[in-house]
Amino acid sequence: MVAVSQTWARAPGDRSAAARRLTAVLALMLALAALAGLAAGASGTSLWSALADLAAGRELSLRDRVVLWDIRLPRVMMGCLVGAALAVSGAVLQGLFRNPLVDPGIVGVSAGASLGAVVAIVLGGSVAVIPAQWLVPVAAFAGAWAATLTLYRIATRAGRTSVATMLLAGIALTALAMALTGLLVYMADDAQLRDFTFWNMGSLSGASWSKLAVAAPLIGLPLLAAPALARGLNGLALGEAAAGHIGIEVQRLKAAAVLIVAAATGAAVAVSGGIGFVGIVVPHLLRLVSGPDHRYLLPNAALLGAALLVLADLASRTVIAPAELPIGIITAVIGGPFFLYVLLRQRGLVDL
Amino acid sequence: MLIARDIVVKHRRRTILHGLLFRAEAGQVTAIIGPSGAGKSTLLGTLSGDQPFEGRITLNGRDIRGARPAEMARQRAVLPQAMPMAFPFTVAEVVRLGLHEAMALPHVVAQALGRVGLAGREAALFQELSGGEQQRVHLARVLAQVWAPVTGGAPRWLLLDEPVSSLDIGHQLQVMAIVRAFAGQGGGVVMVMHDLNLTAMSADSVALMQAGRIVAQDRPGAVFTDALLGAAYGCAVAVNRTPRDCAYVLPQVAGGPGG
Repeated sequence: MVAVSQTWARAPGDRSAAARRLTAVLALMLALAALAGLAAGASGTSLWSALADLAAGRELSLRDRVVLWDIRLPRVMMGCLVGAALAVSGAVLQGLFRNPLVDPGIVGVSAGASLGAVVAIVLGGSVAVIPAQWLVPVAAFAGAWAATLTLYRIATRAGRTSVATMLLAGIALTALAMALTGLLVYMADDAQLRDFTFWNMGSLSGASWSKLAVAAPLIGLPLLAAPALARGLNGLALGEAAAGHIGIEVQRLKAAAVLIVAAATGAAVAVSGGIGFVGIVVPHLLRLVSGPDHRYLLPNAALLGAALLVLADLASRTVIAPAELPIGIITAVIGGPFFLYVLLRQRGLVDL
Repeated sequence: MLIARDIVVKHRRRTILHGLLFRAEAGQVTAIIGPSGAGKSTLLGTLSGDQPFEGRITLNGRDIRGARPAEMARQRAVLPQAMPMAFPFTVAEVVRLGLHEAMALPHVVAQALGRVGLAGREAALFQELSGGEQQRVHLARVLAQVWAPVTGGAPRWLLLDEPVSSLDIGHQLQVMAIVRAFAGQGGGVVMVMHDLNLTAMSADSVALMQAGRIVAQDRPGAVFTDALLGAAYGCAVAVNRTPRDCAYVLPQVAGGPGG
């Protein structure tokens, strides 16, 4: 306690020490969540007995090895990547739009991915170039990119990106993508309809090492690049003109932020479907605890997003085991009311 | 020296600034006055590098066109008119935004806040402050950004858009004293002002604008005349002089209790 109060006495109003302590707490939380994700599941396999086997020098049973190594571990790691991608994308977009209610779902990224997925599911039979199990993720990724880049082109004129235009155009593009998605759903047969519905509700059940090998760089690189945006996003809280006045290259910042979000969210939605609310809930919770400084918000969002998604996935595969609940339902059941709570609390505070 | 020559600024098809000449010396306080809509804020924004313009602006002898934002930020700080913050930053965090990583020293934050009369308010949330306090926090941020008025022999600049618009008279005088001190140490100050008396008391040079043009730029005593102010503001203005020859304007309402 003495050390803490001294830190505060030296730099009052500076919450960076608290934010760094939070990073340590969240890292521990993620480690525990990952351990729980490995330990629990629908099959009777126990992580502890497997570890005891290993410690005693015994060979693991094939069943244990498959369950732990080929099913649970890639799934936990995919959960980490997807959760971190969604939470960091949310934090970056909120900083970019200067609005705590923005989410990858609002600017059309998710709708573009959905459209890509439904195109692959309904019309995909005639495309033989890409193996079937890859077709949906690849198409979803392409859809997310196409939507984000279209949006960016629409909102950028003479080298300047209008954030307000981007927000409004995002709503229009979302509506358009959803209309096209609806048209394709209308054309779909029963099996395709079921495939799309499950994809759309989101799941990590398809996680495998080979999928992970594709998703990890697509999600990991933008996540590693994101902290470079932190100072710029802090300055952007003053508004674009004032951010420029304190030395920030605003146009470059906006372009980089859009690319990072498109890559991270596009890849995350492609491998896991529509998982909502992580992007809103995580940054908001963190701002309540340690303030809006993006230098700490972005890494903390990655940790908390990863931990929450691993836990949500754990719930999705254990609540009605041996069957599985789509993870999107779990995040929506928790996230929806939370979103409303944020909205109600900020009504009157934030006029937009 | 800050010199703007032949400045033309257009918005859509409307011309806002009509080829004007403006100059400000380091070590002086230069005020821009004029009626609403005359183009004062547009001129300040153009000097800040916010919008496209025709003509040429040099700051300390260097063309600002094509200058990198980081390079400009080391030479001048800008205080816009209204500036709501997007997220719940503390006062100290807002002031610190203006600092470069290398000079993010806690004592600069504390001293800058002390100068604007907000000592000890570092941990308060910006959004919970009054409008006047928020304006002073941003002034502290801007001061922190160009903390030394002269660096490496080159003056630094404060560009302020109505820095006292939300302040009571005590804080108005405090801000004017800050601005005078900055110029007194060799820095340059350009500020858009509405209050004519405060301008006459504080400025070394006054640029009077009307309809996108500078109709006069000179010392306050020469610009504050019945004819010039009356023509620019479109009303009868009676300029008086204090015994120490400072101009002041006492508004007279026709048919009011004083008249």
